[in-house]
Order: sequence, then structure tokens, then C-alpha cells
Amino acid sequence: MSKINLHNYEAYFLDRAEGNLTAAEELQLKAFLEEHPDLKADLEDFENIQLTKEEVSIPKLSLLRNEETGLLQKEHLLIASVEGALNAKEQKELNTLMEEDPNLLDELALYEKTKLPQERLPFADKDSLKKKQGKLIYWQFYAAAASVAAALLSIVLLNTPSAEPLYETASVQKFEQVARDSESANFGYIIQAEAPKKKSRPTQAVENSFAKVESATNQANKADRNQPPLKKLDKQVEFAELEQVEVEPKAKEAKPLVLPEQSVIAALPDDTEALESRKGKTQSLSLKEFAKETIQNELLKNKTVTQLIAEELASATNEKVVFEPASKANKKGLQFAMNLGSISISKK
Amino acid sequence: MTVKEYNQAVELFSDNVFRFVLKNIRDEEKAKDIVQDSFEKMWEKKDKVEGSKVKSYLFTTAYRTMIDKIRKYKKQGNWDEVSESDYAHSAGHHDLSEVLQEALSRLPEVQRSVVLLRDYEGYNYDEISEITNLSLSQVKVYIFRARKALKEYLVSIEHVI
Repeated sequence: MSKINLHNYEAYFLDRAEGNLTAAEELQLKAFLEEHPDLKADLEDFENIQLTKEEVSIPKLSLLRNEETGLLQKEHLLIASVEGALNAKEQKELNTLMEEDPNLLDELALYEKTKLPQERLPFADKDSLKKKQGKLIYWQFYAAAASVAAALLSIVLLNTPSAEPLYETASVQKFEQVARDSESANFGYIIQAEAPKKKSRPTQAVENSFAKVESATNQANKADRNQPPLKKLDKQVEFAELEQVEVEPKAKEAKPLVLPEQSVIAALPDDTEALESRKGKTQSLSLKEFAKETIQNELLKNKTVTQLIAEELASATNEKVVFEPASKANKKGLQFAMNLGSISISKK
Repeated sequence: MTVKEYNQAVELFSDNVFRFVLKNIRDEEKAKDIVQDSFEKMWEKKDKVEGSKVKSYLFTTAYRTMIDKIRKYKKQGNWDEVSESDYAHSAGHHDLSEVLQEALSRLPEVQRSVVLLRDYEGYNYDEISEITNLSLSQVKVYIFRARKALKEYLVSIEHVI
């Protein structure tokens, strides 16, 4: 250190207060104070400086970070409050913080403002998203519609005068004759063994058709009523003949008629006696009755024609299909109407 | 799901899905495409979607479709970040809502999505987790960080004004 003078004496004073002067420097300081006694008071001031220990602490909570979100605990608590995600312990902690620092209320209000206000932004092209019923299955729709149209046309035609020749008495007589020729007059009896006990009610149109056929057949049967039944059953009875006479045109168009041939034959009595013993105990079905039953059982599955068509159409098109019953019938024909979704079909 | 139920879903949820996507990507045409795709995907899976899950299914599909499209467009260099003012009806910030929308547009995608699902649709953390395929913890963290960022933006704007 350089020799003490009026420019550096404070450094000497400080070092002396801290006990850092050498003996030589002490001697220099003493000689300097004798020359400048007014500075002795300054030296005493330096020596009187005493630093005392002070307990200083800052709120640790404000520095802590939340383990879950990594945010400052204070921020975490405020946001959790806005989110409604505070548990009881956190709520208590937040209350304490707010008591200590009222400014947190303002901060909480700011966090409340971060909630997005509801805003409406409508999607203008909703119609482009919607599916129109049946649109995706055009071919199914048209196929089903064609089937329905064919079936309904058949029903209508069968109930118009022009359809009557199909059920002329002559045709039925011809069949009856064939049956006797082949010694299968018990045909009706045999069929009855397989006939369903439960009968479903067909549509009015179908009933009309069968009624006409039945009427024609009854006339034909009158002449042959006294003829004895055949003693022997011919298993070669051709069911195709039955179809030619009895099956309605609509049934043929819809799908081939499958007759329970094996089960019918299996039910045949093995001998004439057994046949005779059963005769009279049962009621024979006429051929048209058999056809009617068969159509109902095998084709319609004990449903009406309209029920079946409606179900098939509904299944194919995913549309609600409603058939309205014929509103008016007259001598010339019938009227039908059908609603298929937004399409309405009617025909007299 | 029947055709009728599907069409009801269009009526009930297409606006919400559109808003969610538009607020995220800020491009009206792309948002419409994503909504179309989302509903088409739901139609393809209509037999597997339960009636009570329709909305959730739609948002999940829309979110994933949106993420896929953003990635695809970005890869093709065909993705322009559009600011809020480009599609908002008025430029400048006249009220809190506009300031918030601007703040929202500045958030990272994932934070923006979770906040939109939370505030607009009212989904809880579990539901958002299901829609975004994030963990419950991630959802919470993203929402908290987003709130902090939004609040800081509000404070900064207040200082500017």
C-alpha cells in the first residue's frame, strides 16, 4: 500500500477497522493522525460500524412449482380455481395466499377472462352431409319396385274379368280327369295330412282369386262326386300338374313353388286298409286350397302378400313402406295404392 | 345408426364440429372438407357407432382427420398459417372476444384444441383425453399452460392499449 496521505487515508481507516494493517502501516497511520487530528473522529466512525445478523425470509410458496403442471404453485392454484379443479386442500392453500396477497384477486379475474365465450359458427352446407333414404341402393330399390309392381299387377289382373279364363271349369275338369286316370283320387286326402292347421288370412285380392277357382272346381266336382276313391295311391302324381292349374301366376313369377313332396309321400298310408280307415275321418283339401295353403306357407310364410312385399321392400330400401288397402272395389276391378317413402303408386 | 339418426347428428353436431375445426386451422374451405370427411367416416362406421357416442365419435374423427391433414399439407408446403384477422369479420381488437381469438390463434395446436374442446363443447378432461388420444395428465397440463398463455396475452394487450 502506498504511503498514507489525504487522498488514501480512508483505505487505511477501513483496513485498520478490519484488522488488516501491518505494524509499519499502523505506525504510518499514527503519525498521519498526529499531523491531522481532525480525522481521528472519522477513524472512530469506521471502527464503530457493526453489522448485525438479520433474519430475512421470502414466501417460499410463491417460488414452488406444482409437480403436476410445472407451473408456479400460485398460478396452478388460480387456474385450477377457474377450471373448477381445486380439491379441498388446494382451496385452503389458495385462500391463505389471497389473504397474504390481495393482488391475487385481480389475477384470478384475469384467468376467468381466458374462458372462451360461446360463439356460433354455423355449417352452411348441412344438406350435403345428409343421406337421403334409399339413395345408396338404387339397384335394390328398382329390383324391389319391379317385383312389387309385377306382383300387384298380377293381383289386379286376377280380379278383372279378363283373368277369369285362367280358371275355367274345363281346365279344372281336365286336371281332375288326369288325376283319376293316374289313380290318385286320394290326392286331396294325402295333401290334407300335411296341410297346416293354422291358417293366415290372405289379402282380399288373393281370396277373390281363390274363390273364383274354388267355384269353378266345385262345379267340376259335382259330376264326379259319386265316383269311388281309388284303392291304390300312385306316388308318381305329378305335382307339376298341380302347378299348372292351381298356382297363381304371381307365385310363379315370384319364385318356383317348392312342394313338400318327400314329406307328403312319407305320410302316405302303406296299404289300402289303412287308407280306408283314415278315409272319412279327415276333411279333404281341394287342389286350390292346397295351392293356397302352400303359397301361404312356403312363399308367403303365413303373411299376407302385402305384408311380405312391404317387408321385403323395407329391407331392401331402408324405407318405411305402407300399403293402403283397396279403397273401392267394383265389378270391373280393384284399386290398389302403395306409398314407398315419398313415392305413391296407385292403380285401378 | 339409422339414416334418420345420422341425419339428426348432422343437424345437431355439424355446427359444433365445423367451429372446432375452423378455430383450429383458420381456413374455412379446409374446415368444410374436414367436416365432410368426418361425417363420411362416421357413415361408413354407422353400424358400430352407438347413439350416445355420436358426438364424441365425430369430434374424435374430426380431430384426427384435422391433424392428418395439417401434417399432410405442411409436408407438401401447402399450409399457410392464417391469422385470426384474415377470417374474422373485422380487423383489430374491439373487445375481449377478439383479443382472446387472437391469443388462441397463437397457441400451439394441441393446446388450442384442448381449450376449444373444454370451453366450447364443455368436455371434461377424461373426454378430451379420449378424443385427442392424450393422457389425462397431458390434457390437464396443456389446458393449464394454455390458460396461462392466454392470460399473459390479455395482460400484454392491456398494457399496449
